[in-house]
Amino acid sequence: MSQTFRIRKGFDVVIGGAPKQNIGTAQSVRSISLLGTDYPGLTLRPQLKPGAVVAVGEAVLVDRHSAVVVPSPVNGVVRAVTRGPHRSVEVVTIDITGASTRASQFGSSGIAALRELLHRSGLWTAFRTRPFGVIPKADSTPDAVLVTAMDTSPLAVDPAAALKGMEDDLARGVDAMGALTEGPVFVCQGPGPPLVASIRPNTRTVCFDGPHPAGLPSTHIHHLAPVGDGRVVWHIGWQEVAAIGRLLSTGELVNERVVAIGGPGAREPRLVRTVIGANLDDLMRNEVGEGPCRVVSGSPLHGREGSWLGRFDTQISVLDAARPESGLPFLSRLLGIRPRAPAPVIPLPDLARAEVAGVPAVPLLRALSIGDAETAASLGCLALAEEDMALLSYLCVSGADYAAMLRTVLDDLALDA
Amino acid sequence: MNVNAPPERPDSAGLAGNGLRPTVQIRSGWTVDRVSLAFLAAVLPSLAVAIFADGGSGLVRLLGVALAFTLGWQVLFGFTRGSPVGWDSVVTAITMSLLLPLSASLWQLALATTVGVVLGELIFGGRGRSFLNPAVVGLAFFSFSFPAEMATASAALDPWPALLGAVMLLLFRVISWRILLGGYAGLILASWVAGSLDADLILSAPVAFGMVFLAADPVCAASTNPSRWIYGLLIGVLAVLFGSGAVGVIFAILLASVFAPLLDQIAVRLMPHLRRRAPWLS
Repeated sequence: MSQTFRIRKGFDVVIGGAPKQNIGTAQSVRSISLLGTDYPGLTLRPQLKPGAVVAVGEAVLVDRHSAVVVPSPVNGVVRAVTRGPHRSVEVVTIDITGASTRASQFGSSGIAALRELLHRSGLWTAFRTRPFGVIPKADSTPDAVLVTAMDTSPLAVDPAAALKGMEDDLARGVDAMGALTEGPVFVCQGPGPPLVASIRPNTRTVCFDGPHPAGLPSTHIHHLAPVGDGRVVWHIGWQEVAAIGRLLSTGELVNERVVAIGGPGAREPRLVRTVIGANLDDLMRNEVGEGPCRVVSGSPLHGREGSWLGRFDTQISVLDAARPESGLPFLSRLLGIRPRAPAPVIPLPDLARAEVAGVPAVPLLRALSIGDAETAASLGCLALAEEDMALLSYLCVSGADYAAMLRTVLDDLALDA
Repeated sequence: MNVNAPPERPDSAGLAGNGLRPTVQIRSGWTVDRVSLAFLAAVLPSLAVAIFADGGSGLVRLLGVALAFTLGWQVLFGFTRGSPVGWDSVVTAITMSLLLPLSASLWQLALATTVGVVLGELIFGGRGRSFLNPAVVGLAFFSFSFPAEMATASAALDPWPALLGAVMLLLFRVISWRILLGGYAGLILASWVAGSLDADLILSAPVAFGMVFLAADPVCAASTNPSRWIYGLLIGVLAVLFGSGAVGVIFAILLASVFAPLLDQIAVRLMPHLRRRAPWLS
């Protein structure tokens, strides 16, 4: 018997081009990229130089402080390694030379060596912590693990449809989550029949019903295992859990994910199965309709425009090319007056509907926009991650990017913690 | 961290500085100026009815002078301080001229609009950065500086176009129904306790106009749902205490706006308890 939480607050942003929930064929991809920003909390060092031949499953990036690695999802040749600030790795691009995206060198080691297996296979990087929303330290233990098997973002994948053929893997993976924590494991899903059939004693299936942000991990954590007083909770996406299940049962590392292609500019909105980090120019060949548009990796509410599919993005949104307007008042534009300060927050009543994890919206936005980490923390921002700011950024008249502001504040707080 | 550094703006590089980090890709379309435009559209019926009932000349003169000063100060601050120049100055001029006495002389008008716009808004950085509504500040200044004039007749306001304006603003989702409901609840409650409850009070045009266009202005109102109730109640009760004419309502709103940040603070402190005990309130 599963428990159901009805989420009253929030709202669904309606965008045309909702994907048909069955898996179609994807365009072939000739190169992939691993992006440094997909791995918050790790200090990555490249293992290979441009021109090096890399086999699927071979470590491309390694964490400086632990045994956690990021393996190559394909057989190929390293084309480029781009560095960012402080010699961080920004992008590693690999040209694909072989068809296989499955690595079998990990062996079925069983639950006992699970942690070590997750570090070696790179699947450890699929976990995110609350507080701080980063990849957990290699030797840490959570107070609870949440498996996110739902998505209320616009144009998202419906796990019930995409799961076909992966049910056993998912069940196996959920089982394995119990070995990582002394506390409970929650499978958070939308309304409907349970996605995971056999469930161990300390594992529970929980339904969340309601508009976005009902499907966000922060909402689930807020209701099931709120952080604070030193409690740490991990969450992980269902496809990653299925990959862990497959790795445990067959020793095979699966580097493909089901991704939704949608949005007003998508020619045939549907689900496809493609490789991690796929080049979007290749993948979206013949997928984009007439007229100017932009391809976003991720949801319209939380995504990035660019040439590569993010490591943990499960959707590609094709949006109108027109960018949001600058919001400069008409008379200012007429007189040629450029405002010297960013636009202010106007506390429109709808902002209260967009709040996540019970953090009051307007006080949070005000604290974030002046970088006041102390107030933001007292309001409860440690229960949040970047994606939770999406609805607020969407609604707020200031046009500010609150996700980036929250990241700055969380990084500040992490230094003190 | 450097608090003075302006936060990264999405319109500078399109992707908030670092294009590799995910962020929001679509916007609701509401900007500061469009909120002002919504208020302008909502206040126009009240203005049209007042001009029609008035025969024109007196109110148009008030409006012309108020508009010249609100816009003039905004443009001056725009050029010297870089604050935005938007439709809000027009809304301020209209709301002020509808509540000011028709007999006000030019210099009195000039002084009141100047104090309202400059001290109530522009010195804080413009619309959205102050904690008071400039029209309320100007009107309050006028009524304690020139109480004899304030007692004379103002434009012929009607509650029904204000109601239409309220419906428009609620449909645009720029004002909170909690403030309006709380305000009228406070009004009815306080006048019932005082034994002065009657239909005239409920249908009073300055009260309705003030509630919709001044009290419910999101910039100067409380900004969390529980504190919006208290803020509304406070205005209703104070309006009865101060005498529910235009002056009473204006001072009630002024005082409640001053207390709004405190009400927000208290609401945020109590929020965890409220969520558990009274989820319907938040």
